[in-house]
Amino acid sequence: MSRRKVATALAVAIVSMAVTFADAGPADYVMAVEKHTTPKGQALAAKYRPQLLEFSDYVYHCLPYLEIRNGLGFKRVPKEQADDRYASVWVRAEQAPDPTFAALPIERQASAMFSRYAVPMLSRLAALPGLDSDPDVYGFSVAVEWVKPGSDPNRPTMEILAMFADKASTKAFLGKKLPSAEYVQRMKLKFFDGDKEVGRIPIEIWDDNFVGTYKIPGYELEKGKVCS
Amino acid sequence: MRFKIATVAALIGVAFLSGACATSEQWAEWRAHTTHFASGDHGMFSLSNNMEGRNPKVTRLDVENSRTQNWWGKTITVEPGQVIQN
Repeated sequence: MSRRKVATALAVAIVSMAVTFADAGPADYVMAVEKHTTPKGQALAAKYRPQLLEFSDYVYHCLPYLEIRNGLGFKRVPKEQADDRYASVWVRAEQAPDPTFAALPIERQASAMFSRYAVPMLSRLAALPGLDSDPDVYGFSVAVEWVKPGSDPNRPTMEILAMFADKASTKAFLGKKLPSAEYVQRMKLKFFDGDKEVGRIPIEIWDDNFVGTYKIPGYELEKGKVCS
Repeated sequence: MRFKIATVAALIGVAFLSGACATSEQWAEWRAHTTHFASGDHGMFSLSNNMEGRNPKVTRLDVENSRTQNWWGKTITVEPGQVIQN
């Protein structure tokens, strides 16, 4: 192969990679309309795409320790016949190993992660314009995942807590008109330990203002972005 | 002429990727000095990136580049469809 062809191939490959890096952004975390498996889901995804983009933009820029996983969109409970659609976000919380957290029983770890990350995500989802009055939106769903303490750093085990709740209960909980214990009772909740489905575990919800108050030292917010 | 253009493009690409690697290293340093946990008992949360008087700056693009390079590698987890259905 001539030097010219090698240089051209190299240029194409490298520039393609560079473009890939440059293109990654909030829009990549919103699930494409066509990936929703029913017409109802697709219609909701198309209708509320601007709101989902705004949500993704907020998480992307303001909460960089969270990564949206598996697409922000209108999802459903696995294996359920009804096509009830939930405004859904799945976030991975990045955190360094910590002995205090590791020493907690799994229910307390899950409660801590839920209180810290799932509640603010629920609050943000519930505030998206239009969803409250839309009869096609059944409720809200948040999944939080984190690395299981003590797992192999080269191949970490992920723990996932996923919940689904109807709109009325979520609104009442967020408005402090429904006790958190009652809200937990009403929600569909599942915990996953690595590749095993554990099922429902007892969790508690307590006040945690971390997401609203924490600022990462050294983090430079992109110009023009405002976090509120 | 085409050879020259291709070579210049390759050099630009290499420069870009070198930059990305550098920022990933910076992010790695920042992340390595992070204590980031949810405590069940209180809202304490600390994260420090100030080691030996240095205070590296991290942008959102640094975070994204790091993740693009598959920071954690392969994880042990369930299929997404077990958690939530599209």
